[in-house]
Order: sequence, then structure tokens, then C-alpha cells
Amino acid sequence: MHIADGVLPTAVAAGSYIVTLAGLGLSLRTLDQRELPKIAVVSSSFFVASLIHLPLGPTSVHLLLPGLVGALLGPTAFLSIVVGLFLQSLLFQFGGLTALGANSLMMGLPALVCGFLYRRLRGTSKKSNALVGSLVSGLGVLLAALILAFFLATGGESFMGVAKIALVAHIPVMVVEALVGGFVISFLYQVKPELLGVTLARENV
Amino acid sequence: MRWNKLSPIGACWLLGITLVLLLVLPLSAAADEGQPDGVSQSSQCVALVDEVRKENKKLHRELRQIKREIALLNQNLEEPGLREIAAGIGYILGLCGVAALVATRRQGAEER
Repeated sequence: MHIADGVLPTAVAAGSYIVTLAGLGLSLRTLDQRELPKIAVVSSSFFVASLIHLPLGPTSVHLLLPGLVGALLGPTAFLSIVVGLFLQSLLFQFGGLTALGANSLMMGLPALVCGFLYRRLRGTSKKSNALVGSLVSGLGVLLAALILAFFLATGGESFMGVAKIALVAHIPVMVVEALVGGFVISFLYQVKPELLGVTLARENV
Repeated sequence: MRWNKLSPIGACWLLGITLVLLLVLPLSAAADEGQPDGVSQSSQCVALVDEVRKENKKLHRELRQIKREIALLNQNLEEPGLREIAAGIGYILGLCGVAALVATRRQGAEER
């Protein structure tokens, strides 16, 4: 799910760039330097995840991971996603550079929402963490598909039509990401809860 | 010579020659076709044309196969390989390293 060059009207592309830059600034302000290695690892995973293709009838869809990135990084997820998408567009030709702003919003906003929801709802048990993690991972894909439909609607397509196609095409991704997200988060909660911000939260309290 | 002055003998001659011509010409043409040399030539021609057609078909098939292979190759070239993946991960780690460096320097300056 990437928007290619020249699909969006110039005004939308430029506007989304501005919003992305603003989000990047906010993301940088919340950056904790102790988290840099974690950001590096999560960004790398996000960067590579888009290469994992799931065959789906005549086409194929790939993992997106906005929900998981958001759950792991919180507000810094936006930075991680912009960096990952930038390198994807440079090295993989996934989505154009002019559409980078729109693509960043498409992945970054769901990541922020999912991160927020995960931190709010995760509870304190491993089970609740895994459950909320998997829900949030699925939700990330859903939101990304909706934002994709919104962006394409500004390019003259009908919102409902594109939204329907995007959602149907990403149902398998949603399922797979929910499984992956739930597994990763329950695993991390067991072996390294500070990666999920659990011990950091305890320190703050 | 005028036709109304044509003598009966002359008319007979004319008729005879015309008849002979009419008979001989088709016969000679038929004789030409009936010669064994001509038969082999034409059958050779047919065989050659057949051969060329077969050859054409084969080449056509091979060309299509090669075109398909080229398309596949193009597709493979467009797909990112191991090199791109390694490059991207390296970029990300490097950027974070630079960020960490800047952050520690800033911290060090503050402490001083």
C-alpha cells in the first residue's frame, strides 16, 4: 500500500508534506536519546517488513506494521516511519518521493493512534497485552487503508469505492498483522518488557 | 489484300493454320506441365515453403519464450534484492548512530 508519484494533486501532496514535517518535528521533540537503539531496530523492521509479500489471488499485499511500530515506539513512531518510508522509496521504488508526505501520513497517523491506544488499554497482564497488541496491529492496517482511500478520493476517485477495495484487499494483511503483533508483543512482554515502555512507565511513577 | 477478294484456297490455308495453332498451343502447354522435370521442381517448391513455415513457427515460439524471459527478468530487476535491504538497514542504523553521537555530545557539553 503505497501511493505512487503523480497520483495525488499537487496541493494535497504539498499539504501532506507540511503536515508530515510538523509531525516529524513533534516526534523529534519527544525523542529520548536512550531509545535510539530501539528506534533503529524498529525502523529497520518496518523498512524490511514491506518486502514480506502475501500472495492474494492475482496480486499480492505486503505487511505494513504501523500498529506494531506505534505500540513499540509511541509518539516517536512517526519519525521511524518517515525514515523507513524514505529509504523504501529510494531503494525499493515503493511510492514516489513526491508522495512521501502522503505515504508518511498514511502509515504514521495510524501508528500514533495505535501507540496511544495500546499504552492506554494494555493493562498489566501478559494476556491483555497480547490481546490489545494484536487488536491494535489490525487496527493500524484498517486506519491506513482508510487514509489511503481518503488520499485517493482527493485525486478524484470515489471514497467509498476505493475504501471498499483497499479494505477488502487488506483483510488478510489485517489478520496476519494481528497475529504477528500479538505474538511479538506477548513475547516482548515476557522477555524484555522495557522495550514496551513498561519499566519506563514504572520509573516515571 | 481485301477479304472479299480472298480466294477459296487462301481461305482454306488461313483456316488450316488457325486450327493448327489452336490445337498445337494448348497441347504444347500441356506437354510442358507434363514433363517430369517440372513436377519435381514444383514439389520441391512446396516442400521448401513447408520447411520455411515450420522454421518460422519454431522461431516464433522461441522468440515468444525469450520475450517472456525478458519480462520476467525485468520484473526481477525491479524487485529489491539483498543489497538494497542491507543498504536500507545500514542507513537506518547509521542515522541512529549519528543521532546518538550528537545527543551524547550535547549532553557532554551541558555537563561541562
